Amino acid sequence: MGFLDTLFGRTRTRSARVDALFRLSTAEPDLEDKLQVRYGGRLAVVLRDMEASRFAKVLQEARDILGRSSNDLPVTVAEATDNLHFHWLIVKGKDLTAALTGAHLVEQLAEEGGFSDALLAAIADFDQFCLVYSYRHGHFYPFCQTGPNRRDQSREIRVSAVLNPLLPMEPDPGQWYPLWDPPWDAPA
Amino acid sequence: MAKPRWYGRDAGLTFRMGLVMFLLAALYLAFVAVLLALRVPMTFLVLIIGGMLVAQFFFADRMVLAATGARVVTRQEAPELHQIVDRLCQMSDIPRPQVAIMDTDVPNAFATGRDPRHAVVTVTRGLMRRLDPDEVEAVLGHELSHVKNRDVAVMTIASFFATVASVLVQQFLWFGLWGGGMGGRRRGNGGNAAVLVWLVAIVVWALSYLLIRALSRYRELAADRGSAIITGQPSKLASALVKISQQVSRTADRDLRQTDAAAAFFIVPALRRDSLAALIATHPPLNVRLAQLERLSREMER
Repeated sequence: MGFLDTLFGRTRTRSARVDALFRLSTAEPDLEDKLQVRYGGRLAVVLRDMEASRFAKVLQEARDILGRSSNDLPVTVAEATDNLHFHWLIVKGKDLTAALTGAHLVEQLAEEGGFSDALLAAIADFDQFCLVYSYRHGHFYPFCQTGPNRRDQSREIRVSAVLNPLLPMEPDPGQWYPLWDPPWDAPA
Repeated sequence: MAKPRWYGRDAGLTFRMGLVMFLLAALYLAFVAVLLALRVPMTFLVLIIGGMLVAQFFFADRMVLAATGARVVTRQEAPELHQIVDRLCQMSDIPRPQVAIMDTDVPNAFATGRDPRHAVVTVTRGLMRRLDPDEVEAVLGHELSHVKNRDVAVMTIASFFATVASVLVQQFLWFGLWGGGMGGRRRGNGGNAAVLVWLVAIVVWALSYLLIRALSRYRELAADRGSAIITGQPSKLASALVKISQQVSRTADRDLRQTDAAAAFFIVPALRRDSLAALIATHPPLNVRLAQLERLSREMER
């Protein structure tokens, strides 16, 4: 936000930074090796709801393409809307790289539709914690939920320290926004 | 495809806001020039008022909270509210403000704090009870836009010489004495100068009052626009505004007087005590705000 934007009260949104998400696939062996966690087979792209009717079309298209068996990706797709009306496109499948490819497809469709800034985060399940990728900053951060509205912050800090050399981690813990209760079990 | 068009600036709003700020600056410069030309000893005055404004600037958040009885709530006390604020901050990249709740049934919200790092966003219980969660989100988006636009700082600076002028007007008696005392031998001249200063101050006060109110209204429109852009849902803010204004006009008794007491706390009228609903002149009329949001909705569909 520049001085002039503040002076004139202008609000701008940042386009999503999608480039770094794919690096998660190269970090997967290290996650298994150093943190003893496995990819839980679930990765979701979280999008803000937008009023435009074209937006619903984009979501539908993403679901269609990911759900089609001819797309060569060993994934299935589910969709959920959380209590804050954010859309979760959940890509399921054992293979992390395939899931990331699926997420990239969602990103591309959103960007082509002009809804790049509706992309909030991608979140990958690693059994004991989740890794969140913020599209605003292009950074990862760990999120370890232990109960309703409770998180294990010391664990998150340790995970972040281990992953720091491998992935672009969010340096400011104030930006480690929680995504409570991921709707992983949403029906396909 | 690039970003949709509606993310573009509102050139008209920017122009109007720029014009008002320019006029205000010109008015203030003229005022200072007149004071200097008439050799009014204003160092003392400027220092005192400057000090008060700086104090207000730094303590306004706590003072407003104390005066309105709003209480900062933790994540455990109001998880859902915090969740909404979290998402909004995450989307818009604004530092996370503190969240407070005010215990009244009138649906309303306001934001205070000198900069985004010291901001407090307050909602009333009535707001949370009467509005749907996504309407609450839209209202919070409006308040966060105020925080991001640093409206407290902008309005404090904009009000500075208006405050000087109003003090001069109200202290005319004192100035009359000054005119008499300082005039010494040329007693008559001193008295005339004091009257002139008084008249100039009245004009500056009146004009700047109008300009500041206009500026305040434009910044409300900017915050509405900001809410629509941050949440992606202009119509939610529109429905929230309709609900709030209906409720406030119906139930304006004790609670509103309470908030007015808070306003009297400060010497600057345009304090960023953003009551979304109090449809006084600091805010544009409801239909203007709704028309803007409708326009945004339409632009989104293109």
